[in-house]
Amino acid sequence: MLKASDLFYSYPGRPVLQGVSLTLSPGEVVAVLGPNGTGKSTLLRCLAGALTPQGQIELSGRALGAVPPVERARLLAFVPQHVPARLPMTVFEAVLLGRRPYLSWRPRPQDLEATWESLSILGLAELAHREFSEISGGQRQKVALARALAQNSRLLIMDEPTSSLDLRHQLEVMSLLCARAEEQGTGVVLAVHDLNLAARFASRALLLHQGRIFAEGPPEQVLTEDSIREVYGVDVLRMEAAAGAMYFPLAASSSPA
Amino acid sequence: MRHGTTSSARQRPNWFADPAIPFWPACALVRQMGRFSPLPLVLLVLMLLLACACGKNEQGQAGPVVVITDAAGREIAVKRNPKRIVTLNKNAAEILRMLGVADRIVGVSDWIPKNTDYWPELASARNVGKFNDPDAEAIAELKPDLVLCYQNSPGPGFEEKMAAAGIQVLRLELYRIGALPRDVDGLGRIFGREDRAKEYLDWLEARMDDIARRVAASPERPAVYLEAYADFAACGSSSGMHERLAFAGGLNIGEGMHSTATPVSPEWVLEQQPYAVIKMCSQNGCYSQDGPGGMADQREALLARTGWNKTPAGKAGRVFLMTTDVTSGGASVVGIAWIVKWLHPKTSADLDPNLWHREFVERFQGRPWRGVYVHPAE
Amino acid sequence: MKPACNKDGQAAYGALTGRRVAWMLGLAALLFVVALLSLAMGSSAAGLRDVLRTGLDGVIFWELRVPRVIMGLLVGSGLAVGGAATQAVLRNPLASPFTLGVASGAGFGAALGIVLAGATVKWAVAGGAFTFALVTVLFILAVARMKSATPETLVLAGVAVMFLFSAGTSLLQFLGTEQQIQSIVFWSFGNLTRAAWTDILIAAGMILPALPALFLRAWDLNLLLAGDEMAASLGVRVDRLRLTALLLAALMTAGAICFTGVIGFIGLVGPHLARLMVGGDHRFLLPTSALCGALLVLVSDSLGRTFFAPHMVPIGIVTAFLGVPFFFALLLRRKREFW
Repeated sequence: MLKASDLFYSYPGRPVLQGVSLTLSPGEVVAVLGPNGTGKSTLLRCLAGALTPQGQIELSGRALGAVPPVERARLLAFVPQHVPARLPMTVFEAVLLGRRPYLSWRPRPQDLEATWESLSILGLAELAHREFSEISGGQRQKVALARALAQNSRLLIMDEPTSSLDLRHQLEVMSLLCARAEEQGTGVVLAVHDLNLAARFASRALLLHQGRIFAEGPPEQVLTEDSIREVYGVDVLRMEAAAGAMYFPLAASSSPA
Repeated sequence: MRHGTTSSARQRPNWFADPAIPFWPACALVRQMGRFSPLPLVLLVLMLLLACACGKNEQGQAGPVVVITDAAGREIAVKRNPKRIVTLNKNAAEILRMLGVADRIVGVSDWIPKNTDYWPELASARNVGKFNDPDAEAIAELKPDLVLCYQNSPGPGFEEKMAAAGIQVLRLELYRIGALPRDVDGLGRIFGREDRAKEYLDWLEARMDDIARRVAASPERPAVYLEAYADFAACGSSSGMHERLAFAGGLNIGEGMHSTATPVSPEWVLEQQPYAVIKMCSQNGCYSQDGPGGMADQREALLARTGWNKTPAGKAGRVFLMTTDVTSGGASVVGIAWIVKWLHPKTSADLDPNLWHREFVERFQGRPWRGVYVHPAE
Repeated sequence: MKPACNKDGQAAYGALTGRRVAWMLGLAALLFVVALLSLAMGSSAAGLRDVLRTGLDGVIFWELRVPRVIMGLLVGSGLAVGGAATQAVLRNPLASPFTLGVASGAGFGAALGIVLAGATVKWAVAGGAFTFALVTVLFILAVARMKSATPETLVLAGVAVMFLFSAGTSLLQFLGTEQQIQSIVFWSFGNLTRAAWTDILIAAGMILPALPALFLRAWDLNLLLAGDEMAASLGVRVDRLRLTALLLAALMTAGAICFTGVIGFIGLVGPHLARLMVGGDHRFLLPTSALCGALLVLVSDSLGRTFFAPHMVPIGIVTAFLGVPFFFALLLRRKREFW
C-alpha cells in the first residue's frame, strides 16, 4: 500500500534521513522507534507528504507527489506530534474537521455520523459540545486521534499519539488501532517512545539509528537488549510475559549510543 | 442671507479698542467725547497727548534698549538698532524692508528663498530652515543681534537655546491685524525708524477707516463658510480668518466651534446655506504668477461639490480663494478689502484692493507690483 | 445505545447551527434598522421622507447620506472580513491587515499623492493609498517566500513595514508645507464623506467579489487553525491558501481605506465580536464579521456626526475610542485564551 525507497532528507545544515526504505501493507501496525533526533518525525512527515524528501514514495502504486491533496487526504491521515492548544470551536467541530476531504459546504448526515462515531470510540462523547480550549492535554490528543479516525482513511500515520495519555487510555488507544487495522485493513504507522507498547501492539517494528534503519521486523526480533543498548545507550532487562516482552531500563550504559 | 444685528451708532472698527495698543483708546474716547463738551475735553486731549509724547520721548531717549510688548504680552527690553538680524517671520521681513533695514537681515526661514522674485535683496541671506523648526546652530553661527519669529513657532525652549548663545529672540504676531500697529510701532522704535513706521500705520489706519465706513454703510452681515487648506475643514472662532471676516462685516458660520480648523460634515455646510465661501489656498510664489494658476482648478472643484449649486454661494458663484500673501502681515488690510468687496458689493463698488496692494508693494516694499493673490480677482 | 447517541449528537449540532443562523439573522435585521437610522440622522434636517424629494433635502439625502451609508456598509464588511481572514491565516487573534502594515502603507501613499499632486487631485491620493497598501502586502509575501512563511515571520515583517511607512509619512510631513501637512493629517483621520458614487462603485468592485471568494474557502480557513501540517494532511494547499487569503484581505482593506482614510480597529474588533456570537467556524464567522463590521462603522459614523455637531468627529477617532475599551475588556475577560 505504501512504499518508500531510499529516502534522504536534511534540514538546513543538518542531514537527518540517510537512506530509509520501508513498505507498508494493509492491516499492519508498524512502530517506528529510536532516540530523539534520529528522524522518526521526519520520516513520518515525509510519508505523509508534509515534507518532500529525495527518493520515492508510492501510495497505492502512485507517486505520492502526484496525488492531489484532497484525494491524498482520503487515503492517508496524519496526526502530528503537537496539537494546537487553542481552537475557537467545540470538540465536535474539531473532529468534524477531519471530514474535510468529503465535505462540500454543509456536513451531510454521514459526516456527522462518522464524527460522532469517532468521538464515541475514543470515549469523548460527553465532551462533544465543550469548547476545545477547555479540555485537558490528554483529551486534546484524543481529539486529534478522533479527527484522524473520522477521516476514514486507508492509512494512519501518527507521531507519538499516546504521549499525553494516561496508562489506561494508552492501552485503549493502542487496542483500538490494532482492532481497526485488523477489521478494516487500515495500515498504521506510528512513532512511539514506549518500548513496551511497541512490543505489545505492533506487528512490525522499525528501529532507526542516526537516520538509517538499524533493524526491521517483528518487535521481539528487533528489540533485543543489545540493539537497545547500541541505539538508545541504555541497559535494559528484557523479560517475557504473557502479553508480550517487557523492558526494564537499568541504567544509561557507559558506551556511547 | 443671514442678517446680524447692527448698532445704530456709527460703527468703529474693533481694532481701535484693542487693549494691546495703549494710547489708542484714550484718543478714541476723546474723539467720542468731543461731540458733547469741547473745552474741558480739549484740555484733556492736550494733557493726554502730552503724556503720550512724554512717554514716547522718555522711551526714545532711554538709552541702549527699547521696551516693547511682544506677542504674549510680555514687556521685553530689546537692544536698540540691531545690526544683524535673523528673521523666521516672513511678515517681519516685510516690515523690516519697509523700515529700510532689510540689508541687515543675515538669516531667513526657507520661505524666503522660495520667493526670490519678491526678495532679491535677501538672495545672499542664509537659509536657516523651517520657521517652526530652524537650525539653531546655523542661527548662532551668524551671530545675530536679534532673532524675530512668530508667537507660537518655534516652540518653547527656543529663547533659552538662543539666550545660551547670547542672542535675543523677539516673538511677534504680525499675522493678526489687531496686533499690527503694536508690532510695527515696536519695530519702528527698535530701529529708530519711527517716522517710517508712522507713515505705514497712518496709511493702514486710513485704509481700516475706509473699510469700517463701507462696512457700517452696508446693512448686511452675510453668512460665510470659511474653509482652511484641507477639504471640509472649517475655520473656527480662534482662527485668523474669523477675525478678518469679522472686520469685514461678515458672519462665520463656524463661529460656534473654537478650533482653528476642524472637520465638518458636508451636510452641515449645505444646511447653513452660506452666502459666500472663502477658502484659504495653498498657492506658493504668487508674486511670480501671471494668472490664477492652480486656484482656478480648486475653485472649479469647490463649485462642483455635491449640493453646492443649491446654496446662495454656489448659485451666484461667490466662491473665493485667498492666499496668505494678502491675509497676514503688512498687506493683510488688502485681504480684508477683498472680503469687503465680495460681501458688500454695493458699498464697495469703487474699492480696488489691487490698488491698495500696489501701494503697499511699491511704496512700502520698493518692488514693482505684480502677481495674482486671490481668485476670482475682479 | 449508539443510535440514540448519534441522534443526540446530531441534534445537538443541529441546534448549535440553528443558534448561529439565528444570530446572523438577528444581526442582519439590526444592521438594516441601524442603516435606516443612519439615513435618517445627520447634521441637517433631511430625513427619510426626503427619499422622493428633489430639492436640497433630496440632494442631501441621495448624494450625501445614501453614499455615506453604503460606503459604511462596504468598508465595515470589507475591513472586518479582511481582519478575520488575516487572523485565520496568521493564526493570531491580534492580526489584521493593519497589523501587517497596510494602513501605514496606505497613509504613506496618500501623503505622497498629496505632496506630489496636491490634495485636490483625488485620483492621486486614492491611487497612492491603494498602491502602497498593496505594495506592503506584496512585500511581506515576498519576504515570506524567501524565508519560511510561518505566521510569526509574517507578523514581524508586518511590524517592520509599519514602522517604515510611518517614518516615511512623518518625513513627508516634515518636508511638506503647512497646507500639505493639514491635508495629510485630515486624510489620516478617516472620513466616510469623501466617497462619491464613482468611488463607491470602485470600492464595491474590489470588496464585493472578494467576499464570496473568501466565504468559499471557509472550511480551509477552519483547518488552518489546527496547524499547517494538520491542514496539509487534510488536503489543504496551505501556502496557496495563505497567499490567496492575504491578498484578498489586502485588496478589501486597500479598496476600503484608499477612499475613506484610515479607519482602525474594525478589522480587529469586528471578528472578535462575531466570534463571541457564532464561534470560530468560518462558514458563520466570515458573514457575521461582515455584519459586525458594518454595524460598528455605521454606529461610529452616526455618533461622530451627531454627538458634537457641528463638529464632525472623524470616524477613525470614534472607532479608536470604541475599540480600546473593547480590547481591555477582551484581555481581562478570558485571560489565557483570545479565542
